[in-house]
Amino acid sequence: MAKRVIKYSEAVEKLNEILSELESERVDVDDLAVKVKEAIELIKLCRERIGKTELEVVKIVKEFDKDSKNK
Amino acid sequence: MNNSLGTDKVYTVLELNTTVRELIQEAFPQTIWVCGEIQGLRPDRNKRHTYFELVQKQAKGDGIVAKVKVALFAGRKPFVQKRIEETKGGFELKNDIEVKFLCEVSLHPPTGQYSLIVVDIDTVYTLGKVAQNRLKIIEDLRARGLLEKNKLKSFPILPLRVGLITAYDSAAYHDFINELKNSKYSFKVLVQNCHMQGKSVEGDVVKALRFFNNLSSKDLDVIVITRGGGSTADLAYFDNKRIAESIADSSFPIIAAIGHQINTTITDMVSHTFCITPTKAAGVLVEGIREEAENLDYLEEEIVRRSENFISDKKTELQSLAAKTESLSSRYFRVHQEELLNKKHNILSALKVALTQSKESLRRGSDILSSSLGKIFKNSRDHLKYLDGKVRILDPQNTLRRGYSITLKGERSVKSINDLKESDLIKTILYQGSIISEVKKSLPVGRQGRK
Repeated sequence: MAKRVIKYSEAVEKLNEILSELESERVDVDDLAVKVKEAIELIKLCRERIGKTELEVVKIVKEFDKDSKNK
Repeated sequence: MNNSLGTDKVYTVLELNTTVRELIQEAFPQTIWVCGEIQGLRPDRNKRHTYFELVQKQAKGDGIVAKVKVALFAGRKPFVQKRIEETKGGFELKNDIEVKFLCEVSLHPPTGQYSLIVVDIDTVYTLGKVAQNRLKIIEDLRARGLLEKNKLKSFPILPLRVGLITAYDSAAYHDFINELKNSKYSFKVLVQNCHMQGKSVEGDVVKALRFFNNLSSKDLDVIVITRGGGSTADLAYFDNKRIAESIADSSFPIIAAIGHQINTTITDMVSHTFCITPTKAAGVLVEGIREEAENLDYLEEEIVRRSENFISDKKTELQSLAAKTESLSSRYFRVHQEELLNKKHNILSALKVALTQSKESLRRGSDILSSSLGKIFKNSRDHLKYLDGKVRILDPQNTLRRGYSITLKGERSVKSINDLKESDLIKTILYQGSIISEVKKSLPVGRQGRK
C-alpha cells in the first residue's frame, strides 16, 4: 500500500486549498499542471466515493443478539 | 389471665375479613379518588380482569413508600377504556404512568386481600402527569447540558454509512430504505431491529445506540432512529430519559423521525436533526450527498475556471512583460541610437576632418604637383621652342629656300648615289616646285654629295 487511502473530507479540504492557491496565484506556473491534475484526480476519487452503486443493507442480528446477551 | 380475654366473641377468619370489609365500607361509604403510579400491569396477559398495583414513590428518587392492589374488572373495563380513548391516544394504561382512579375500597374476604376497585379514571390528571413528567425529563436534560449535546456533533460531509434503528420490515423501514435506494448513491445501511413501541423500546434503542457507538467512525457516519406514525401513547415511549441520555452521549450525530408533525418526543428533541417522517430522514441524507456532489461539480468548475484565469493572467503578464521589454529595449535603442548617431556623427566629422585634411594635403600635393608640373611643362615648352626653332631650321622648305633640293625616286627620298642608276626617273623638289628628270649619268664621289 504505497498510496494512503485519503479521507473524503481531506480530499475536499485539499481541493479547496488548491482552489484558493489558484485564486491567490501563489502557484508557480510550472506547478499549475501538477495542481490541476491533482485536483482532477481528487474530484474523481470523491465522485467514486459518493458513487452510483446499489444500496447495501446489512441487518445486524447476530451482533445485536450477542450484545443483548452480554448485557 | 382469663380476664385479659376481655371478650367472648371469637371470630373465624372469614368473619374477621368480612367485619374488616364492613368497617372499610363504613369508613369509605362512597368511592374515593386515589392517585399513584401503575406497577405490575401485565398487558400481555389477556385476562378478563386486570390487576396491578398503585405505588407511591418517594418525592425524590424511586424508592417505594407504599403500594396497594388495584383491580379493573371486566365489567368496568370498557367504560374506563372509553375514557382513555377520549384522550385520543394521550396515554394508555401501562406501568410507570401516574393515574388517578375513582375507586371503591374493598376487601375480598376469602383472601383477606384489601384492594381498590376501579370505577372511573381522571384522564386529565394522567395527561397532566405525563406532560409534567415529560417536562421534568426535559428540564433535567437541559440542566445537565444533554439537550444540545448531540446537536453539537458535526454532521458528516458524506453520510453514506447509516446505522438504522427501527422495526425491521416495518412501513417506516421501507419508506426510509426506498428513499435511499432511489437516490442511487452508495449508501450502506446497518439495521438494528428494535421494538418501536411498548415497554421494550427503551432497552432496545439504548442497546442499539450502544452497538453503533462501538463502531469506528470509519464504519459509520450517522445514526437514524425512526418509526411510523402512532398515538401519543405509542410515542410516549420516546419521551424517555435513558434513550435521551444515550443519544446525548452518542459520538455519532443522530437523525430522529419519531414524533411526526404533531408531537415531538424527547428523542426528537435531543437528536442532532429531527424529521417528521422516515422518508424525510432519508431525504436529509440524500440531500447531504447531493449537496456534496454539487460541491464537487462546483469545485471542478472553479478549478478549471481559475486555472484558465490563471493561465490567461499569466499570458497577460507575459504580454505586458513583453511590451515592457519592448518599450525598455526600444528606449535602450533610442538612447543608444543617439549614441550611435553621435558615433556616426563623430566618425563622419572625423572622416570629414580627415577628408579635409586629405583634401588639403591633396590640394597641397596637387599644388606641388602642378608647380612642379609647371616647371616641367615650362622646361618642356622651352625645350619645345628650342626644338621648334631647331625644327624650323630643319624644315625642308627653309632648306629648299636656301637652295637645297630633295630628290625622290618614286616616293622615297634619295639619300645616296647608290640609290640611283642611269635612266631612273627622279623627282627633284625645289623651293616653290619640283621637276622630273632622268638620270643621265651617276658620278659616285663622296665630296659631291654635299654641295
